[in-house]
Amino acid sequence: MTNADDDLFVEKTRQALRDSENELDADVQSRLRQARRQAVASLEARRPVFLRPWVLAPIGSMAAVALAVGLYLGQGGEELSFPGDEAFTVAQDMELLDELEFVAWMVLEDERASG
Amino acid sequence: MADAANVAELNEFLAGVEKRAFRMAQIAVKDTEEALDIVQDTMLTLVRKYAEKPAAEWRPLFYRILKNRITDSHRRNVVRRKVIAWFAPSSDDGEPLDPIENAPGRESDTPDVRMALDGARDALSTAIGRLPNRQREAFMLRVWEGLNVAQTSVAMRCSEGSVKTHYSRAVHSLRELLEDYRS
Repeated sequence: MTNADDDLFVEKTRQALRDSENELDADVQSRLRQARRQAVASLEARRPVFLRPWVLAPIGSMAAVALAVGLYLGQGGEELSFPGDEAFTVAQDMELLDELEFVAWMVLEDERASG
Repeated sequence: MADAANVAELNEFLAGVEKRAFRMAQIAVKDTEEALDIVQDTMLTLVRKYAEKPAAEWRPLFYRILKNRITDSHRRNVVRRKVIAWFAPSSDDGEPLDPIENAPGRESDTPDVRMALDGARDALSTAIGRLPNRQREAFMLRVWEGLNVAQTSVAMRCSEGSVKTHYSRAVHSLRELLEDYRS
C-alpha cells in the first residue's frame, strides 16, 4: 500500500461522499432548509427593533415620500437659503459696531459732564 | 449585534454545509429523523452562541457542535438500549426482546428498496459508520469537509497529532473494509 494508493482511495471516497449529498430526497432537503430558516430567524430576533427590515423599509419609504413632496413643492419657488458663515460674521460685526458706538457715546458724555 | 450582512453571510454558510452535515449525522447515528434533529440543533447552537465570531471560525465550530450532538445521541441510545433490555419481555430462549428492533421497519427497509440501494456508496457509508467514533470524525472532517489538520483539531478538541493518528487509522480500516469494492 503506497501513499499514492491512499491518495487515490481518499479522492474516490471524497467524490462518492459528495455525490451522496446531491441525492437527498426532496423531503429531507425541504426540512433542512426549514431548519436553516429557523436558525437564521433566531438571529434576526436578536436584532434591535429599529434595525429589522420590516421596520426600516416603511421608514425609508416615508423618508423618500417626504423628500419627493419637498422637491415637488420647492419647484419654481425661491431657492432655499441658509445663513452661511459670511452672513453670520457680518451679523457679529454689526453687533460689535453697535457696542463701539455705545462706548464712544458714553466716553463723550463723560467728557461733557466733566466739563 | 447582528446586522443584515451578518445574517446573509450566516445563511449562506449554513446553506453550504447543511446537506453534508446531515449525511455525516445520518451515517453516524443511522437514523434520518435523528440526523435531522441533530443538524437543526447544531444550526441553532451555532447561531445563538457563535454568530458574532468571525466567519472564518464558523466551520470548525459548526462541526464541533455537530460532533457533540452526535456523541450525545450515541449516549442516549446506549441508555435507551439498557432501559429496554431491563424492562423488555424475554423471548423463549431467555434473551430480552427489543421492541424497537422487532417493530415493523420503514418502507425503505423492504427488500426491493434495499436491493436498489445496495452498492458501493452504501457500502462506503456503512463502513464509515462502523469506524470508531474518533476515527470516523477525523476521516469525515478531513476528507469530506476538507478541513485541514489544525481546523480538524479545533472541531474534535484534540491535538493535531491525534487527528493525524485517527485519520491514518481510519483510511487503513476503510481500505480493508472496502477491499471488495476497489476497482
